Amino acid sequence: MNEDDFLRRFWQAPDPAFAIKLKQELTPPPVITIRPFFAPIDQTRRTLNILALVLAVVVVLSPDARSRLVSQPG
Amino acid sequence: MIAELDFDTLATDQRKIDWDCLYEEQLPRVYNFFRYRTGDKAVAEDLTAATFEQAWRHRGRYRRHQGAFTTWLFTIARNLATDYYRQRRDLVPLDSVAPSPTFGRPAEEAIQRQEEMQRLATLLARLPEREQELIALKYGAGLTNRAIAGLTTLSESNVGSILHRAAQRLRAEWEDER
Repeated sequence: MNEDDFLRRFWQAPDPAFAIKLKQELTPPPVITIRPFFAPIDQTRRTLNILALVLAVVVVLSPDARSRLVSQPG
Repeated sequence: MIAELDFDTLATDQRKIDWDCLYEEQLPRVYNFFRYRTGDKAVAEDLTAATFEQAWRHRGRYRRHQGAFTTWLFTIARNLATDYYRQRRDLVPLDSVAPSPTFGRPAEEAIQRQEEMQRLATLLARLPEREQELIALKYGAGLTNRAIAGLTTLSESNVGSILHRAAQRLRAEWEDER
C-alpha cells in the first residue's frame, strides 16, 4: 500500500441520517396552508352567495316562477 | 478527480435538482475535509452543516466567472476550520478529542475505525498547519493538486511536493508507532 492508498483508507461516507437532516434544514419543504371550511370569505362572495340562496328559495317555493323557468313560452 | 461544478443554478428555485446534485456530490467531500482536519466525527458534522448553511445563505454572492463552485465552497470550509481552531486553541488541547459513536456499523468495526482516525488525527496534529490542511484537502475533500493550488497561494508542483513529503512522514510515523 503506497502513501496515497494509506491516507485514502480513512475516508468515510457521512452518516445518512446526518445527510438527510442537513438537507431538510437547508431546503425545508414548502408550507401548505389549507383554509378552514368556515373561514371568513370576502364581502362580494358573501353577497353573491346570499343572492344565489334567495333565488333558489324563490324558485323552489313559487310555482309560478318555477313554471316560468321550466316551460318556455310558445 | 473533482468535477468543477456550476453554482449559478442555485439562484433560482426551479433548478432545485441541480442543488440536489451539488449537495450529493459535495457533502462527502466537505465532511471528510473536516474529518481529516479535526479527526472528530461530531465536529466534522457541525462544521459541514455550518459550511452548507453559509453557502446556501450566501448563494446569491457566488459569481461563476470568479471560479468553480468547489473552490467557493472550500473557501468557506477553510475559513470555518480556521475559526474553529482559533476558538479551540484557547480552550482544549489539540489531541484530546473524545471518540464519538459511528452509526450504521457494527460496534467493533466502528470503534476500530474511530481509534484509527484518532491516531491519524494525533499524527496529523504534529504536522505544520499548512501540511495538515493540504492533507485534508487532498485526501478528505478529494481535490486535485491543481484545485488545491487554486485555493491556496501555492503552485501546483509545490502542493505536490509538500503533500508527498507529508504523506511519507505520516506513513512512517504510523508504522513506527505500531
